[in-house]
Amino acid sequence: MSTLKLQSLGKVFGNTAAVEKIDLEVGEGEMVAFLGPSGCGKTTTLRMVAGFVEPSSGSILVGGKDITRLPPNRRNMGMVFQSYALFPHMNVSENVAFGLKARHVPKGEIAGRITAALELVGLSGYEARYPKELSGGQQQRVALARVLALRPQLLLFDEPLSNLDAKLRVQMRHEIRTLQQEVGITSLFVTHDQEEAMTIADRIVVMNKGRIEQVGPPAEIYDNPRTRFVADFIGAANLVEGRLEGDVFQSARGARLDCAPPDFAPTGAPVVLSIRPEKIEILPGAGEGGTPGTVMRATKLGGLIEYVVELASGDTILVQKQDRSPADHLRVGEPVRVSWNTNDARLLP
Amino acid sequence: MILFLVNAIIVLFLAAPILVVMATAFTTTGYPVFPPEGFTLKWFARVFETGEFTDAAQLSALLAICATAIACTLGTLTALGLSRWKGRGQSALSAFVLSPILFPTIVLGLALLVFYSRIGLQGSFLGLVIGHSIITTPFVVRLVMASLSEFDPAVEEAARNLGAGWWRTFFQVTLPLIRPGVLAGGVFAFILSFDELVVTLFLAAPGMSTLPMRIFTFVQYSSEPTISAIATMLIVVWALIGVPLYARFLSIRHK
Repeated sequence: MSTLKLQSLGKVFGNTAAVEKIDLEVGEGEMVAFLGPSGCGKTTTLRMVAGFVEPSSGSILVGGKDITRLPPNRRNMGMVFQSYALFPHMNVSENVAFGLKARHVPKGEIAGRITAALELVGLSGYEARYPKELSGGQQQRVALARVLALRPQLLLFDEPLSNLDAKLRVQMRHEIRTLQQEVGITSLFVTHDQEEAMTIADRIVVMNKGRIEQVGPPAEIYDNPRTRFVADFIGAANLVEGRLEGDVFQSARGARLDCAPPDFAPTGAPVVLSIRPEKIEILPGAGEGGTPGTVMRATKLGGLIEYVVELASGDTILVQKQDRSPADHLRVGEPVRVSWNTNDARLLP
Repeated sequence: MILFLVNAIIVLFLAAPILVVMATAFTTTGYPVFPPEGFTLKWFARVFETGEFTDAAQLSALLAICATAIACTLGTLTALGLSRWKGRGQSALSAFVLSPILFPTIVLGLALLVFYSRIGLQGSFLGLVIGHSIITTPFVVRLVMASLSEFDPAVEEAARNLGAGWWRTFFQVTLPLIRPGVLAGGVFAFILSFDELVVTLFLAAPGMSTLPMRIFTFVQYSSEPTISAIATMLIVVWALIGVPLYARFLSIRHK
């Protein structure tokens, strides 16, 4: 068990910086998810920690020890791959034994550790099966058992659930989280799936173009995005361009919208107002209170109804409402008013 | 129906010459005839009477074994290198590596002869081994690259991550997974080398004779069915050893 510390860790491929000098500390037993679009540097970061990519700058410390220059086989880490990466010519028990033998675990101890690891992932009795005789979920459990048997200091997950179908993915997500908490191993989890990151991690690192955009617990990332990118990437958000006129936000098209006071020093430069569609109240009719607008589109999304409202200024606002009764449905072309709690509308530089 | 007929004709064309040669090995006449007249095994005995064929077969086998070993080692390593190197010129380099397949062997033979006389390798066994390795290695490269195309590179990373060094990763993970390609390449290399005539004619010293050379010179001066007997034995040996090997390791994918 160990802490992990990345110090201005960077990777340059040719002329492009895949990862730009990032700093991060991961606490004992913590599960940290790296979330971002493809090409954001999350996988490169993980591969540097694993030792498959040599950093161009910075260092990696595990439990306070600098391991930046150690080859992958001398880092005590267990990695779980998107493709499972089981050895197809070995059965389940041989797959789990491989690492134990490579690390010279005493012969007498190996059988017991295999049994224990397979029990942990719920695959007792599958010892003699070959990978191709197992389902995707079972294969990923074997991959998990294979690394858990080694009692690594660090667990590294590289999009481990992306090859599974949707239902199984949700189930495995919880299994991995439960297991990780049970064994208490510090873990990094790379994913492009925000829901996955939200459910599995203690903290999320949102990455974009090789930089860390924001680090924080899932709720904070969602409710209090610090940058336009995070607001836009995580969940759905209305992002309205404009500027601050004193204390009031004025959109580029001229709408004056309520918002929380900025938590950065206003410079007069353009800002963005960000508000989640489910935080917006929508009222029928052109009356008092709220900003008037017109329903341009109504879409039913399962239990939600999504409205696109065009304000008098021409700005469009996305609103989501629980679909409780057809009587509440708003028709396209109907005049409405939208309003929100000022604290839910945040200004981003 | 038409398909069946076409297939039957193709099989007939492939099999007929082989069957005819085998049949002529048993004729009692002093030259191959078909259908054979009478039945005798004396042509088989004749093969072993003098050392000329057995010595040549031994030399050919030794040569083929050496060339196969070199081709498998070099070919496998080359294929691994080519499949991993994603830099510029990768396709040009693999085309270059595979080019001996397309290169006329007669030109290669001449080129090697000239080159060997400069460096003093002409007429040596080593020179023959090198020549045969040049011819056979590209086939191993090609077949190993084919088996690498369905190889998940993450598997090697997993091995490294689990604590295996380079050697353990190669011998316990990489090699077993590309084994069908290496074995197919090896079988190919062995057959090509055992069968090789053109380059060998250029490079062999006087008095040094591989089996194909021996057969080639023999038919120039003699029409004895001894030659049919040798052909028959080669066919039988190949059918007994080669075909089961082929079926076991190449056509059926292991586990």
